[in-house]
Amino acid sequence: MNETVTTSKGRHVWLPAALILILLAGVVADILGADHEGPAGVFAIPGFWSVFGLAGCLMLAGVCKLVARLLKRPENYYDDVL
Amino acid sequence: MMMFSEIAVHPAVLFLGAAIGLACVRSGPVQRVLLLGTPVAALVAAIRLPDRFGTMHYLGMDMLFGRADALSVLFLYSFIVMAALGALYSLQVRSRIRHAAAFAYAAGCTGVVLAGDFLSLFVFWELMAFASVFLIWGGSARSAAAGFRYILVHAAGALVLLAGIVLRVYTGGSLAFEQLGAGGMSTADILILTGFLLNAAVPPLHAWVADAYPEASPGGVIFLCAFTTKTAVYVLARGFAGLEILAPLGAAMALIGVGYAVIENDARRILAYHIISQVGYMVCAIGIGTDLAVNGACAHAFSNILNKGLLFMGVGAVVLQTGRGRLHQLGALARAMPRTLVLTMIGALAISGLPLTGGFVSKSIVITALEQAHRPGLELMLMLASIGTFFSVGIKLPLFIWFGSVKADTCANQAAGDPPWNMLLAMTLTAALSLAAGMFPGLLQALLPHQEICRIYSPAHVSHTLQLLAATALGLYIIRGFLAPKPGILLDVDWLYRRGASLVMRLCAGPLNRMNERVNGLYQRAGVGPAQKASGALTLFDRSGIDGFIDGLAMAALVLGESLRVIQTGKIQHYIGGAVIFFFLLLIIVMLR
Amino acid sequence: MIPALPVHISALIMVLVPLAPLATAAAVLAAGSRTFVRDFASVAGALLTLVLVLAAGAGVMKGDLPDMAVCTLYPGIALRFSLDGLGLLFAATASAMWVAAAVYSIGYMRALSEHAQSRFYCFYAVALSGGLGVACAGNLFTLYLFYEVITISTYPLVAHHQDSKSYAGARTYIVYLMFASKACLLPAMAILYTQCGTLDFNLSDITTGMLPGSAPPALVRLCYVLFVLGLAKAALMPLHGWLPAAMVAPAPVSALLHAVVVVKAGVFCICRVMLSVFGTDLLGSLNLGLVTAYAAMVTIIVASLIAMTQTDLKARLAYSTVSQLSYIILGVALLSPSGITGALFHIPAHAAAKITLFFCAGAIFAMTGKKDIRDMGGLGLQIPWVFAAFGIAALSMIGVPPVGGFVSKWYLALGTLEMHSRVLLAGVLLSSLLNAVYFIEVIVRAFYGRPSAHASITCAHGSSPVTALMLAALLATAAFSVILGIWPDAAIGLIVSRVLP
Repeated sequence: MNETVTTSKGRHVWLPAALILILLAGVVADILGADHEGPAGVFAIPGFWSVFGLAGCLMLAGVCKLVARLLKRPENYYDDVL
Repeated sequence: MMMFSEIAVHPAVLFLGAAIGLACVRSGPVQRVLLLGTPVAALVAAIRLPDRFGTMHYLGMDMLFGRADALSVLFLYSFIVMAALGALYSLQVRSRIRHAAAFAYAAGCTGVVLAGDFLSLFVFWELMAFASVFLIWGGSARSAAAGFRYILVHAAGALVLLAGIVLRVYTGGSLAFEQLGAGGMSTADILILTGFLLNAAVPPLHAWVADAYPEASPGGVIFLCAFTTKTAVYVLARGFAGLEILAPLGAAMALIGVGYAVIENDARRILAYHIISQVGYMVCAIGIGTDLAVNGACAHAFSNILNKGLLFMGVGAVVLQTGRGRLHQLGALARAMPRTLVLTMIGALAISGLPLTGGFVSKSIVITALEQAHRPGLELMLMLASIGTFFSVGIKLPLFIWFGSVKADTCANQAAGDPPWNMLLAMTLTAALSLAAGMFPGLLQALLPHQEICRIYSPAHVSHTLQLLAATALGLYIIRGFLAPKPGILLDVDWLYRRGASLVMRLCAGPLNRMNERVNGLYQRAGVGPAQKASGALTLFDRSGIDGFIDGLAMAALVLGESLRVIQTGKIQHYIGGAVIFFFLLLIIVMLR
Repeated sequence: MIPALPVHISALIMVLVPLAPLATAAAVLAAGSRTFVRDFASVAGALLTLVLVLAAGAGVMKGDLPDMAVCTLYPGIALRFSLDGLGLLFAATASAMWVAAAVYSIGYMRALSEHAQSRFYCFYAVALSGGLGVACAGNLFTLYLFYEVITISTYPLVAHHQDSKSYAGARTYIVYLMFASKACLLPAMAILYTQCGTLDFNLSDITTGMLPGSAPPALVRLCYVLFVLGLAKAALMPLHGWLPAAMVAPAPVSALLHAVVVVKAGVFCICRVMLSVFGTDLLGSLNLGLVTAYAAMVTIIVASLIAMTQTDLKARLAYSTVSQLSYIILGVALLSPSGITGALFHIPAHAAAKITLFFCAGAIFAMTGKKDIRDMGGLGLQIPWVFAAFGIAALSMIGVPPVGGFVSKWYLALGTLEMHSRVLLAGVLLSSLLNAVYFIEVIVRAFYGRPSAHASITCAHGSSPVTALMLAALLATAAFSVILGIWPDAAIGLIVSRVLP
């Protein structure tokens, strides 16, 4: 699995590019529509959700990896009980 | 009969009748007619329901089986629709018991959402638990034990609920099922809430979902994922809207569910943890309790029933066609099961809240309600859960099932194809409904219980959602090397009762049983020996010399048992002798007095 | 319904109630080796008894109290019959279940080609006579007399197989019951007689009892304890050992006697003693109710825990019975209207469910030869109706609506609250969960378990008329269990209007 994703890296350069484009478009939309409607405060900062999405995703992955290390057990862990 | 305009037909009656029919009928065509016809009939009946109907006097209380207001009817419709889609999806299954269980289960949850009092609610609550377990049993090889745990957990939850109801009745509370805890939570309210929270899979009472659902049959899990947790959302919305504790609990639930989903390896367990996560949104909104928030919870329940159903259908098709459910054993199925891929992706994107899907509409209402209630912390938690949803279901799940290259241990999967027509049709219809709800938000909003609505497709919402999803995808692209699933299971709260139960069983089988045997053996040492000696001395009284009704009758019985007594060692005589002595003592007391 | 008869005619019919099974026993003996006549006599006798009970009971439902002293031995000690609501409840339960059991026995005994069937049917009927006599007893003396008839007439039934195991079981059985009744019941009766000057029950009011206010509390307490210990048929721990031991008997015996007649006679007597001898006021003021309730609760929980560990199906059912009987004792000991209602309703509810379970255990043994739960993997697919009935009865035991057990659980739960004891409420509900553990396990194994290794199961009597008799009986009692749950009004009405003050 691991190598599957990495070897196909070359073919997928358009993917991050497209994602970054969407993010930029979102930020522009935020700036244009800032004072019309929507949330106030921190959430109204243009591009806040882009940053939050990226940071949240990386943090989630990191924390979950750590948790998995604690909670992961072999498949037959419960075989001796009900 | 159900076509008479004056007579209200409870949909649960139709489902229950069909369930009995399905349990008895062997003929394939009749089975299919029942499977497809019943939900249609139930939908017709549901549309014609009056506001209140079906009262019954039972155990000195008045039960109300039918209370059809806007809140009930929304859930009623979505359950009936899902019952129809689930029946269509499992049309090729020939197991009578599983079809019957599915419809009895549908009867249970339509009964719960229409129940106007706690007693009828409880009756259908139990029906749900005991019917649904048959959808788990008979699934995977480990389903017997998983279903056993499932039913015990639900039996325990129902008992807590029952304790609450009994306490409420005893303390003079009304049996009618209305908003609870208005003047502070009483013990009864807390018990009832606990019973509800267990069915809603609110941590720490959530482990049963991830434990049992993945072991269910592919058709059965469609019903399971739609019904139990969503009826719990309904009863929470009905009874505990605005209960503050539910808001943080729901947000935490959304995060815990998604956290497990991110690291889980089993495809269906990922989806099961996602049920917990998505129900967290609803519980959180119910905790906020404003009209808009309750609307959001209901809308999210409606769209989530469709989306989660669609995902389980897709993954179920994969499991059915390949016989495998662990991500590390799957991959590169895009060529083999293309239609399944497309349809499942619609569900995955919808549950991630992509605009133009039902998930976007319902999430927007919830988020707007949170904004209006000024709860930024909760909003961030739910947004983080959205990230995790897209992470695990939107990207990780399809990536490892359908993409990647064929490897040595997964090439056998390539022989699989798209599932039978009925499964594909069920998935197509579900996807169409989900998209319709997203493209025409007015349709869904018209069904919501409260008038309060908000603008769905505001530029800010669309832009924020797209940013969030794109940023998540980008983040995943960066760390793609660390995503590979690994075999193994994850510990959860069920560890407590699985290990705990085996400890209890060991204690019972060991010390308790030994003690019991010792007590049972006591009579041999303390009872029989001395008594034999005593009565031996007393057998001088010849029993035949005694008349009197008792012993005459006893003797007659004994004479008939002659053959037995000869082989016995004569102990009977000793006891009869003893009886006679005591009888004489009694007479002496009588005389002396 | 049957029209209510004048009270003196009801009284006459009532006296016939315990005699009808005796006549049946005589008819069975007379029929001898003509098996068809014998089996017919057995079923006809059961039906006749049921009709007599209902005829006598119609007036009781209306408010009559049929009463008749047959002969007086000493002042205050007479052979006397009376039928009140409590007695009618037990008599109707026992006679109705006997009809099903009579049909079932024919199927079972023939399927297994048991020996000495005439002896079996004869003592079966005599035991019923004892049970109905206990139900109709108008004083303690009569009650005691028929109580002992049950004990003795059941002995040859327990020892029916006449091998060393059944003798051992029967010996335990007789020693427990005889010893307890002789050592405790008789002295208790004597004490009571010295205090009251009569042994006649106070059937008019459950609050006052028959003891005069002048009775010294210590003596009353002693007397009460002696009664509870003496009535060992109620299987209150630690006097429960005889019940699992008696499981060596053939299944119809376990079904009718050790789920309905014998054990219910025990708890019926305890109810009688608590309600008609001591009265709820006295028990409440001496705190005896609470103590009994806690003792019953300990029995309920411990017996359920032991039941979980039993792998022999009948042994598991036996421990379940021990546990369920204490529900009845617990409910009455709560001394509150709901508690007593729940307890007394549990007499028919438990009877219908447990007799079904034993019928199923017997049918499984007769059809497949399996006794051990661990060997029952996959049997549910071969004999689905048997396990369906087992499932329904199990739901009643767990207390799931709309099966009978739910009604008793509901009232018992209310009763614990009326006694202000949340501990007891928790206990009742916990026990319900334990019931779920050990009954559902059987169902899971039967339908979804792997067939056991040595499992060349031959349905020896797959669909013969013989098994049809068994099936009919066990499906009828399972259906009765459901009917009790959906329409409990007749039984509840009888309890509320004729037993409670």
